[in-house]
Amino acid sequence: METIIEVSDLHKRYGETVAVDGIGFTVHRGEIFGLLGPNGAGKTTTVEALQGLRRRDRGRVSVLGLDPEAHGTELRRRIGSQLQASALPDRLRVLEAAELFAAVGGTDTDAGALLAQWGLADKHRATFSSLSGGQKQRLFIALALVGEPEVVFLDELTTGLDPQARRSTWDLIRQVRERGTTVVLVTHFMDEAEILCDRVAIVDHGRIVALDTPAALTAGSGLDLSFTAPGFDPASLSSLDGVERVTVEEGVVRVRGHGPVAVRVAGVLWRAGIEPADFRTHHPDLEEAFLALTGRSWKD
Amino acid sequence: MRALRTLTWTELKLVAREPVTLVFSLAFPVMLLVLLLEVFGNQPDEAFRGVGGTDFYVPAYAASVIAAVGLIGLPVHVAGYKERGVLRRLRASGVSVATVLATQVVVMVVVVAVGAALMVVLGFVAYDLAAPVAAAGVVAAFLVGALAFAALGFLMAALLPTARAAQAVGLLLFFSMFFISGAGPPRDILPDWVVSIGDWLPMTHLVTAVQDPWIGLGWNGGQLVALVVLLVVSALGSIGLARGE
Repeated sequence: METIIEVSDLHKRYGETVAVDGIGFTVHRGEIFGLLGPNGAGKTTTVEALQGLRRRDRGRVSVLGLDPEAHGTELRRRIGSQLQASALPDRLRVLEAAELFAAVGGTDTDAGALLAQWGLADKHRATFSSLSGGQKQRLFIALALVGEPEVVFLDELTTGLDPQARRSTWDLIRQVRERGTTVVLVTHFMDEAEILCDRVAIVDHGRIVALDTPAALTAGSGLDLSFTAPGFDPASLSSLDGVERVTVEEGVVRVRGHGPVAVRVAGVLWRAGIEPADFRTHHPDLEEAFLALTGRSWKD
Repeated sequence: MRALRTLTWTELKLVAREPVTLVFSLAFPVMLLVLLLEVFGNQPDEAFRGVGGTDFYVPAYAASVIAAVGLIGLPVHVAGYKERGVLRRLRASGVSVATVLATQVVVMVVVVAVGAALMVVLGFVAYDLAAPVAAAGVVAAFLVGALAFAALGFLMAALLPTARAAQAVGLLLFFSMFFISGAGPPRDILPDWVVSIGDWLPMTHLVTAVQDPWIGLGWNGGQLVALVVLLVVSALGSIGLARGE
């Protein structure tokens, strides 16, 4: 796997506030890499440093083999960018925007073809302010892809979108990757990171607290299952492989464990001739993984 | 070069689509000017520095367009770009802030030149306007004034956080200066203490620097120097603030 972004020991403070406190990670070519964390965790500062939009205080950064501070102009021709909370002039038309970004990027991108690709062919003369939230995001993705960059940075792309528009934006991000473009995705939405990313770095207070595939991150926080079975003695479950804890509350048996515990518990019940209708398993999501890692809930 | 050219052309189209800018920097001043020219005619008068109302007001109003765009139009536009992340977005695509500001200067010069040209043509065609005595002096003062007020506009945009704030401050500055700068009532009929306040206002320097060579009082070196000082101080101030961000 070819490494195209390497960050180590990145530090940045604003006055007394430490925004980034020793972040390090690598991104491989062709993957969707997520930086996930609550607002103010240091994600945006990190990707801005990667694009040469912010000076770092300390640390090493290499994007496509270039230092963003020393070779910012050269680098920005090879990367695409969608910035958090950035807009276009209200009265700028869609085609004008695409042509403007092609011109400033110094590329021969066919603006019309690019817009057609992202479903904006009938919007050439529409002004930016007249677009819906989803259309604006499609335009931003199209603009980020002007000049066929090798890597795109997408910062909080779906904030403010309704659920349906979020889902179609996720499809677009997958399409970007299918074109062979590496994606660095910044988000504070757990579900987005879980569904889209090949690997996720969970960022909190300017540090990476965990970095792995979403499946591996959530596996660490275990699995819960529950059922009711009058007359069944749940004590026998405690000896099963992978079971950590068995509790009974108001007749409901709750089991917590790791690995394929659900199948093993079900096997015990089945052999005993018990088939509870309310047998439920609960797979933890990244929200619970975050709680397990930081000891804080996401919304704090 | 292609970036600068496309960006400038795009910005010009955006200005042409902005009704507020067009009304306040072009239509409104021209309408006011017509009213004044109808009222005062062009008979030489002591109150109008010895010339007629038309010869007095056309250069003064042309200068006022510079002040209006520099104090209101440009800072509102640039502060809005800053506030809404347009500057960051352009920078992420490799457009430097200097390029964006250069395009704004070009756009401002075009807008004020169109406004001034409307007034001058109107004056010549319908109100018996006398030709400028020292045309080169008028053009020089107009250009230096436009650059100085563009720099002042950038300084305001750098200092003020939002387009709304820029609009409030810009309107306040413009109207508080307009009436005592000599572009409203002639300064000769104002009380002495108001005149001495006016002596310190950049808009007074601007109006006088454009008006003097037009009506035959020659190049006003002192006022031009004052405008250059305004240009340098504002430019250094805005560069300093931009660096800090």
